[in-house]
Amino acid sequence: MIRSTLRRALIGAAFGIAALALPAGAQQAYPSRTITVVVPFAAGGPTDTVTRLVAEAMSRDLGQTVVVENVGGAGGTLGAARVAQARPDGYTLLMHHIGMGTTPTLYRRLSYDPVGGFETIGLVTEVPMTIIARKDIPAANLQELAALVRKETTKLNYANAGIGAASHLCGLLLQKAIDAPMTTVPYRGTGPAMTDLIAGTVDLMCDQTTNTTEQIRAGAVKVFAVTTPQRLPSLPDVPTTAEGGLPGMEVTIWHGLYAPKGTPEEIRLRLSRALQVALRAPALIQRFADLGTAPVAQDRATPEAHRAFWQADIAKWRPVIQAAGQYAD
Amino acid sequence: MHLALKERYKDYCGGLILCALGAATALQGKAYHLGTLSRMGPGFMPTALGVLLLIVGLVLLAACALRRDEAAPSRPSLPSAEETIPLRAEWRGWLCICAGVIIFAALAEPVGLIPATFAAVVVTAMGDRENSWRDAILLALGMVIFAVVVFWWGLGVLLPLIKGVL
Amino acid sequence: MWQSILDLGYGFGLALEPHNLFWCFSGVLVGNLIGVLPGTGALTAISMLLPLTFSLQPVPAILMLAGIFYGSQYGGAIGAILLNLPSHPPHAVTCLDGYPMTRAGKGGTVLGLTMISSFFAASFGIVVMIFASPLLVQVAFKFGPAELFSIMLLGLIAGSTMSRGSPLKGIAMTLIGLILGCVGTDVQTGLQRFTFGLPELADGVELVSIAMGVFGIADFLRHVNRMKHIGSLKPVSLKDMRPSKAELKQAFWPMLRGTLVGTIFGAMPGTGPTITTFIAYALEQKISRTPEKFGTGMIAGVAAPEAASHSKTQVDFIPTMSLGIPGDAVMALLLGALLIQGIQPGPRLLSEHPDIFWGLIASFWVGNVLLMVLNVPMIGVWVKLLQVPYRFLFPAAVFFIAIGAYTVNNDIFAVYEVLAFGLIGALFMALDFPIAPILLGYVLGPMVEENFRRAMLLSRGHFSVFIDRPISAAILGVIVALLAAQAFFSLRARLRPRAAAAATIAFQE
Repeated sequence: MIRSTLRRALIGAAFGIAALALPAGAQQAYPSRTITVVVPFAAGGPTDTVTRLVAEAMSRDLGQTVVVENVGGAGGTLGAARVAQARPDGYTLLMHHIGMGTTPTLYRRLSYDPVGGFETIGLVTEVPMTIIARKDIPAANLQELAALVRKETTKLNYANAGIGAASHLCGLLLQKAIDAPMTTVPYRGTGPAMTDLIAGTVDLMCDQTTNTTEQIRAGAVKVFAVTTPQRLPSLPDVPTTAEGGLPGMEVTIWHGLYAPKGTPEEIRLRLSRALQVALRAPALIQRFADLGTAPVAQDRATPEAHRAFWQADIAKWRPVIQAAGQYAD
Repeated sequence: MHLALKERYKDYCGGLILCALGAATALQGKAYHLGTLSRMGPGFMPTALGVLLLIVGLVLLAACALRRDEAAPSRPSLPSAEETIPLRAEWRGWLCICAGVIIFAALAEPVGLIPATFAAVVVTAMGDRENSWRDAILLALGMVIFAVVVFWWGLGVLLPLIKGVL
Repeated sequence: MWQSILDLGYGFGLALEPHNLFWCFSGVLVGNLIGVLPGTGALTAISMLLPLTFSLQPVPAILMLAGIFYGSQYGGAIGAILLNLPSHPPHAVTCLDGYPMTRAGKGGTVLGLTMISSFFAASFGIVVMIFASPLLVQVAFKFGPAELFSIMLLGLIAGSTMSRGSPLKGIAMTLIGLILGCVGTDVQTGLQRFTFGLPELADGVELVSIAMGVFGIADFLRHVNRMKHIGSLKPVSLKDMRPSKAELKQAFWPMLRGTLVGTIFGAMPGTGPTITTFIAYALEQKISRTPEKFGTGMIAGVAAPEAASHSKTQVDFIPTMSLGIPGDAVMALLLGALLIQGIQPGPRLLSEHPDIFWGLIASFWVGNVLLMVLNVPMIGVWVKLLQVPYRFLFPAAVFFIAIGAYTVNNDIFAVYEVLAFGLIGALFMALDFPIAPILLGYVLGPMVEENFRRAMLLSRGHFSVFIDRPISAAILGVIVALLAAQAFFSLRARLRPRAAAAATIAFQE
């Protein structure tokens, strides 16, 4: 114990005084104890699953245990706040999804800085979404669906999983792309929303492939498009939104790894390298495929690529959310 | 007679508390958008519930007043404190239990699981008049071992054992 | 049907392989022990032990998870019955009659009855899963927002007068629970109600904190320095623990009704287990010939909710497994665990992976049998717990509650919530208010409000939606009948003493 404290003090000194002079030594020393990755959602959810798989793979490269801590609540802002306020020593990290791009606009009163409070480490994965509808909706493809929405407008019910949920954001973007409003029916989570969609109580919904692929294959719902630039290997017959006539209507639930602001660059690069190694592991790629997703390309699992993507995402959602005038607080 | 008095005093207090809670809820609820019954806003339900609670409180108070006339026509003087509280106040026990919980909550994250558990159990145990310091400390040590083995090691609770050391 | 039975046989073969059995047994054992700890129910137990199963093969991993699930669920009842501590909120209602029976020295008997009820209900649920899954899935789709609103309203009206004493006080406590249910983010608008700027309250008040506060902490506040032991000190022999024939007979129909309530609610996704147990209890009390005795140690008041809780969670697996839609948080967690193991529950699971589906069902039953085997000797150990002097018991329990509340979300705020609800519970108990309806109101309130608003949104503001849909109309009819009966009986009760008195006078003259 004393040794590790001493070591940490030395590392601190090394960083403070001669960070450039001792990069090798610092890098060898960095993960000297357990690293905690905070997941701001409940255990068992999609983000938690992704994190646990990545954490396991990263710990092999780092030589230290990487544990996952679930700090759920308040749309992910509670867990994010905890990391923003944690010591920037590389031992407390955050895994967060698309919420990092929307929180700055969705929440007007936060106890932490949702943008400046974090350093980026790298992107992890992008889970595609699908536009689905009740199976007897009178439309055969995305163009017909768009025409139907323009004709029926608020007579159609669009289900989502609550303000700020990916299904809500996707719905906002869809209505913007079609340029016609629908009646939004919020649910508490995608489960009950999906039940009502299958039962035909509501008409339309967007949800991630993890939840929809099985329903689509079983014919319980009708699928119109995937919200990615390319078609998906798991749903090869489903056109993209661009192919279906709604270019620019792209949403993915992207996940990224963050550290508190002020985390030294050496540590961030070390973590980014471990992330890249983890995302190359065949076992992880297989597990991701089981979940209907894939790791991002290696050059995107870097701090710079992650930051650029994140900034663009914030800019993308701000006008959409502000136009809808729906905030989460 | 004595019992009826106590009962009535309790209902009287209860009624007042309900009225206060109901009124407070309704007032706060009105600050949110009310809407109508067919287009409820977020304020509709809290306001309605607050008003209902206020009504229930008032009914309880009215029942109290009516019962007084029926049961005690001689109109007894206001009951004094000693005869109204059912059992003797147990300040030591109450304070120690509350303090125990607060100590655990306050210490667990900044100081660590071991000191938080130890302090919380010792303080709570001292709420019982029959517990000596020795008993309390022994019990606390037992709980510390249990906490470390079961919660920290077994279940992987992510609290530091002692912050900064372990 | 024959194919189902053959497949099931295959499933049993898989589940009974020695190493699979070993993992199932460890799951049951660990789950049971964790479930007994106050504050750590099935949800906490599974989320904490989930990482352990990642390193296992899919079959043993699922067997272990099923074991943890059943073990912790049953463990929750033990705390509720023996210590008035509902480790898992659905068992809160079990406290009402289970704990008085323990105080009367019948703790072992109640545990025995609980176990029989749970086993019966879970077995029934498994049979329903095997033979009636498609039917229940159809039921799930019949329950839209209008139907859910009606049935939740029924639960609220039946439940709010379930407690002993003045019905007015019961209604007051239900209202307080309903108000507590409003705390947090409004699902329709995203507005935060009654959060007072605290982000910790944005998702509402923690159910575990309410249950542990108003039952656990409040009970300690009331009994500190006033109690030496829970129950009697006289040694309990194994014979005393076996429920007598008469007790079994008393428990039989409540157990059956509870099981059916649980089965029906299991088919409705989104109705949590706590709602189910409260409604099972309320139903027993409503049809009982001695409703005033509930809360003093009625066997029906334990058997029915415990059976309901187990059949509900069992039937909950139907939407989870055959639709891929989790019914509640625990199911979502198990769904996640299955996904990690590379199993995608959904409409095609049964046709594409019959081995996994039937292996899972067999493992459920094996888990329940193991639980029974494990717990028959354990009852004696649990009852011995009551011999620990109260002065040692309550400080330890306070610590368990505190850390248990923390582990729900790894959030210290929940610990303060427990204390606040403990004080509120103690205050209302001192004023002779029943506290269980607070929980009922809390779990039903958001369901009633959200589904009402959702139904009105979908009907574009027309109230006729509740009457046009047959199921909803039928339930509303039951509500009207219930209210009419209530009014009739209370009027008759009020008139009768006078009539009786008049008759006596007339007779004397």
